[in-house]
Amino acid sequence: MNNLSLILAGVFACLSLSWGGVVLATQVQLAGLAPAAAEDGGPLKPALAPGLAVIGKDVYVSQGCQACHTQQVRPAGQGADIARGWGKRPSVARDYILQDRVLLGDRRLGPDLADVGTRLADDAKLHLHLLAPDAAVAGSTKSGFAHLYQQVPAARARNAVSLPEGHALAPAPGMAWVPTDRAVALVAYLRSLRADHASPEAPLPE
Amino acid sequence: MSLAPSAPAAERPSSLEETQPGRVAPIDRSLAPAVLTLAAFGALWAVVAALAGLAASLQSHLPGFLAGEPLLFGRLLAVEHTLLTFGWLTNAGLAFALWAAHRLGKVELRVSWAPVLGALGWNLALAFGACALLAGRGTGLAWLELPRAFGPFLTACFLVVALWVASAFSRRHTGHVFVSQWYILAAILVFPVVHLVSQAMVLWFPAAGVVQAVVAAWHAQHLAVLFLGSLALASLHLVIPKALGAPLRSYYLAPVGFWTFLAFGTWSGTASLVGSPVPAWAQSVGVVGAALLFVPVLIVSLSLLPTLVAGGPSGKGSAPLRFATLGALAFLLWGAASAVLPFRSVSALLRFTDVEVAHAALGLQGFVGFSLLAGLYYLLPRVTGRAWPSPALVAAHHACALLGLLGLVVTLAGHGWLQSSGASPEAGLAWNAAASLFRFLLLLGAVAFLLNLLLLLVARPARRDLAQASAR
Amino acid sequence: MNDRNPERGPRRDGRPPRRDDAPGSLPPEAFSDHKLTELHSRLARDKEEPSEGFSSTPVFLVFLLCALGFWAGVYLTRNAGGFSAKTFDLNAPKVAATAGPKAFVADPKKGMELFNAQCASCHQPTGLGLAGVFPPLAGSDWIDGDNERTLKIVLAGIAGEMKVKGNTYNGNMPAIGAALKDAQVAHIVSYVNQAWGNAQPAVTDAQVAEVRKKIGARGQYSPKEILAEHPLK
Repeated sequence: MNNLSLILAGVFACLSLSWGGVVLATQVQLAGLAPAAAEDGGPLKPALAPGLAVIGKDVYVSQGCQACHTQQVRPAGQGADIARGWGKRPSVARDYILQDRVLLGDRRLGPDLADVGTRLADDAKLHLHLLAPDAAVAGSTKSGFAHLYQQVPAARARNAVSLPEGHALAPAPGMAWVPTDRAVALVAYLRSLRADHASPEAPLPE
Repeated sequence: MSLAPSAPAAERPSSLEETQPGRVAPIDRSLAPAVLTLAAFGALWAVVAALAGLAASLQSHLPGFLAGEPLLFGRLLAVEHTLLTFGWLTNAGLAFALWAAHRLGKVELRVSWAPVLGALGWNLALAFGACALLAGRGTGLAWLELPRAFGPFLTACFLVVALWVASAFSRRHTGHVFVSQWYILAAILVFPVVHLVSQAMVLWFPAAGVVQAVVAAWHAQHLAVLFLGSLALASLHLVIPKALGAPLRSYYLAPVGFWTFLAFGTWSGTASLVGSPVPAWAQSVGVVGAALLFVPVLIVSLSLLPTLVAGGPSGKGSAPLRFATLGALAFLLWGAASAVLPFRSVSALLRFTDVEVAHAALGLQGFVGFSLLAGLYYLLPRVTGRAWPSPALVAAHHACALLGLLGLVVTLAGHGWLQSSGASPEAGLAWNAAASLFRFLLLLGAVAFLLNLLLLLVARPARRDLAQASAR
Repeated sequence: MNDRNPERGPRRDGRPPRRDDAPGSLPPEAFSDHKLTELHSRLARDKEEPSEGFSSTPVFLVFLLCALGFWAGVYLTRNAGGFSAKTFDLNAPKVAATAGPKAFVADPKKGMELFNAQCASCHQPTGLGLAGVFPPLAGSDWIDGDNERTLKIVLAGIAGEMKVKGNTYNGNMPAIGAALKDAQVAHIVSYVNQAWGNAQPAVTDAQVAEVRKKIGARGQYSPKEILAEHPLK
């Protein structure tokens, strides 16, 4: 233990072994994955996300959504994800192959979002969740993202987000909340998060 | 601690340093610019990280607190994590590594200002990085939060400092290589290799799909355990015998502890992916690695803790020993939790909950943070040639850090348990509020340390004490 | 905490007191670096000496490591899902293996690569085409399960005015497939049939060979001609 190069070589050997055994091995195993049809003649999944959703993913990251939300449905028996209705089947590696950055997440202060596009298939609902979470879910502790919305005169407002009567964020008289471009893109991204298709590795339950 | 105006002469035993002050003082003097720069930036980042953590914690139970951009919850957490790990812990670890490598090798730092350049570069980049994170330019990946352009520059700055550590080792004058030196060498090799490889595979040339998650998990575990953990163990192994004046128990087991720490730690990365969409074998490898990691934890603890216990209660009075005791205890607890949490039956309940946050806090702020604090409390007076100006601040730091971390870990774990039972988020608000209280204590502790360090830096620059001692 | 604690005086064994944070004066080191390395060097050499009563520790440790190694092996063999890339959930029911060899299986990966190389410059990787210039394939009414029509177009090309999804295009598509192997054409057409939300059955290389034989050497189709042979559904 008195030799500099011997210690460094030993340390380096440990690192390379685990890199080869874990990182390289999974890369070799998973590199060949491509969109696939679950049964003959079915559509190839996953599909490329629409352009607005790609922009929305940047908004998702920059707003720090991944700090509270994961994007992975764990199998039954390893958490109650499926029982809670966060997805119909567990997530598998193939679901992520077209994503340029994989945001599995490591903390859940809010629900999982891997399948949020099927759960909340409605722009208005998603906007309400973002603008005033407590109006969407009573007692929600989610932080609001009112800075992604702006007030415009009600007459000019398209896609206005309507709040319940007497809500703290209720717009000034004659005004209405409308989403900014960032909110529109973010909602498009959330809508694109869907895991409602069967995968060769994870069939949908009958 | 009460002030002792001057120690009785009888309490001044002769030691090598006093009979031959010239042998150690020049080494310390040559290290002063670099070590003090690193330590000062580290203490500063510790305060900023604690502030960010407190703000995020407050947001979790006070809706509307600092709402809106740029202080979003997710961004604050990214800032806290980056500044805690790359700011506070890495700076402190490098300061300790520089000092220990030169002291143990009995060589002076040849070019005193050279590592200062690396330290300045590292910390300026971090300052810009924190601003980038607040501006929403983060990557959203734990331990790789900073935009990818920062990675190569940070690694280069790290190497500017770390190469002097390696140089001190190769120029050393001593025959026996002490255990701390092994851990330091491992740490300075692990960081650049792992950080560059992972940056490349995740941010520059992204691997397809979940391989990214595997790389990120591998990276996080290496930086937390094999980089920061090694530096912390180096500090414990050096500070405990030096401050106690007693050799380490079971020292002959140290090589076994060192190599099993590396060999098992390096395989434990995927333990954080149990239940995730990565192949089951990769998850199981991580579980095995994390469980086996308890072997070196036990070996090292069986060496450190009995040494501390045999040192007796009088060790309580010294700041390095008090923090080293906390660090060694946190190491054992953290190791036990690391071995248990990844198992599938446990992970099914506790994964993604605040129990994992508590575990990380115990490891980073407890084990690594306290151990490196022990090192800094020991080395900074020697490098400046002055004692800590305010023992009251030392005591305050110790009390705040101990109470704060203990409370934080307990409340986070309690909240995590509540989360695993499927309770509504509202039910956790009281736990979050308690966590904020303890985070405030941690902030106070960090401020006390920074203040004391600044006082130490601006105190009269004479090296009078040593001069007096040698004249006597 | 009291610095004048009687316990903190000089120790009987002559070791210096520990007063590292004492104010005003810097105490000497309890253990000089020299003494530290010397002593530990001796400790490292003297490992056989059972003086501290720790002699049984290495034996115990060897047994512990062996036992843990055994456990690790057992755990891995039982929990690794056969080291398969397709096992994510150890409790999942086994997916029945498909029996019998198949002559040709359309490979979406090859199909995507070939499509991107041969077709995407006009039809775009997204299959959406370019508005007014190149007709879309994604959701196209021409992809309706009549594979023979698609194969004829790919093998012989098509030129002239045509309506796709209600828009008129005046295109000129060369005989891309003429230079490709049967299997390559089959991969491409299967991919087009199943990508971007299209959901039509795959094509085999045998079908491609059949159509190629049927049309022989010929020029591009006109939309009228091909619709006469294969009307849109």
